[in-house]
Amino acid sequence: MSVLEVTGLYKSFGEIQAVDGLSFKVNQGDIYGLLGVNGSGKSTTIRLLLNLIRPDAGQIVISGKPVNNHNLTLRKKMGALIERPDFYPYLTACKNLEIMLKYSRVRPERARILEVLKLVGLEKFKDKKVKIFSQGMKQRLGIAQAMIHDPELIILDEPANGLDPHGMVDIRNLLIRLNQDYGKTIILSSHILREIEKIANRMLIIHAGKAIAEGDVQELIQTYESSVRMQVSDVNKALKILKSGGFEHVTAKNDHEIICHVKEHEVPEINRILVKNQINIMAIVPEKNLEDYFISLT
Amino acid sequence: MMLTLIHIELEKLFSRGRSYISFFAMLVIVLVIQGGMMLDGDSLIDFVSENLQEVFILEGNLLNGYLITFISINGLWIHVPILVVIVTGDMISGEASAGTFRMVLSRPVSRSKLILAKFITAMIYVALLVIMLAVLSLGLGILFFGTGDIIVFFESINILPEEILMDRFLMAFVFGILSMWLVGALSFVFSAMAENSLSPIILTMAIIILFTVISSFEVGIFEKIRPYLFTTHMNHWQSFFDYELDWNKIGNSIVILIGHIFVFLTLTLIVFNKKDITS
Repeated sequence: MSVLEVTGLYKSFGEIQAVDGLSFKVNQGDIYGLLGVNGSGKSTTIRLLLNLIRPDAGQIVISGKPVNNHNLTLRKKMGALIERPDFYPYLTACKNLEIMLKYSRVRPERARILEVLKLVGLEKFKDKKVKIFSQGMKQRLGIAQAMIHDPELIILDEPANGLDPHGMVDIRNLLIRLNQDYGKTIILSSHILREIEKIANRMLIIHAGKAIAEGDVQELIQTYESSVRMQVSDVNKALKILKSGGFEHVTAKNDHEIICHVKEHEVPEINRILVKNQINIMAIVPEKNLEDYFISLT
Repeated sequence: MMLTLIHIELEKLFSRGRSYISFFAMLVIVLVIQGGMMLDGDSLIDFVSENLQEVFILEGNLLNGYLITFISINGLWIHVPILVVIVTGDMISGEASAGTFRMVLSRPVSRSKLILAKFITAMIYVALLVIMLAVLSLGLGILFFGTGDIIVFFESINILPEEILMDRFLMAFVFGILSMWLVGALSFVFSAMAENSLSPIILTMAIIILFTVISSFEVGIFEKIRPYLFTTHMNHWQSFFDYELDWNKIGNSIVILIGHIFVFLTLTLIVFNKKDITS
């Protein structure tokens, strides 16, 4: 069952086409990754989902209802962290969350606030003013405010920003827990490719506002992405033979190694061609990851 | 929901240190004026009443709390708008520049209701500021200088007896609240358009200063447009110190001020409802 359905979404700012005909669907229980370089249109897409900005064309449907000014109650089902986590610096962490609960039309119970602060590791700072918080602490509080009202759909724009490696692991584990134990559907945008790869089950790759690829993360990697590093006896000869054999995406990494960006089923074929042409192969190292795939697409 | 939103806005407003700057500034200004009058008020009275004493026999406590309050508010109505817009001009644009609108407006909050809550909060703040001015200037003035009749010069010389003055001041201050609400409402329009705190403050003050200058020139084209400028009507608090109250003139100004407030609030709502939250 789809929680979110986006169809033919367009948004421009002056001459800049920020979102260019995006369509995608997020199913209940997904951790859905929006992947793209900075300026690719991820944040604009998220702002459109939240009705913070109006689309030039297209439709956004959440839980079967269109997102617009009149469907305010729809936003009760959503929690979001958009770009930077900005709070009222002169108020404490608790007070900020209390205000956000009130805006969400939920009775601000202290027990719930403390529970969420504990989940994001900020319980010791509950009564401290946000102005003394580090970027990482604000990021955690940003995630806390996105989930404080127990929404069904959590939308997080670059949630790992400003976090140290431990913080990134903590947040990743928290999101997986929210998804698996509490059944939350999560939309996650990032330019950190490994974050998406580690956490999301489905993803959309955006570039210049356009969807480049969409689908199951593992399937996308299996189908499209295969980067293989080969240690060979003669790099120049290997490059010449492979390129004449139609393998254009082959480059020299150093004097002993070549990198082949090919589909997985083509690797044995490359191996066979090189051996047939008396090039010794000392090692074949698969370097399969989303990053290579992403770079090849964008 | 509306009451909740107003409560949140009041909580945010009065949790910020800068919201108290205007109250503090008001206190300092009133104390400075009253202190100055205490030190050198008599010579001022002698200077002002020098010509009058050739025609009238002046008796009693001329340097009294009412006169000092009158002198205070005469000057302060120029400065109070600055103290007002420092806070009201920041109420929308401050959240835009701080980025907090992203969090607030991604929740089930109607933009119109949010603006109305902010507007009502701003109006409460402005009213408190003017009430403080009234309490301080009248209270301290009467405490330090006592009461008495006052002589005011506008289009004519008016000698107002002590017995009617408290009512007149109260009416003038209520009218003052209305005038300052208009200033706040104007700053809201610019605040809804801007992404920073400074622009609405500067733009509002620039318009008030420009209109005030035009209002005070009694020549040519300015004379024709003067009745349509809201600053002309803001100055009609002075009408409460005419011996006979001209309710037609006062009522007309009240209607024009309320009309302007309504127009500015509507403009704010239109601008904010169409605004893309990009900050």
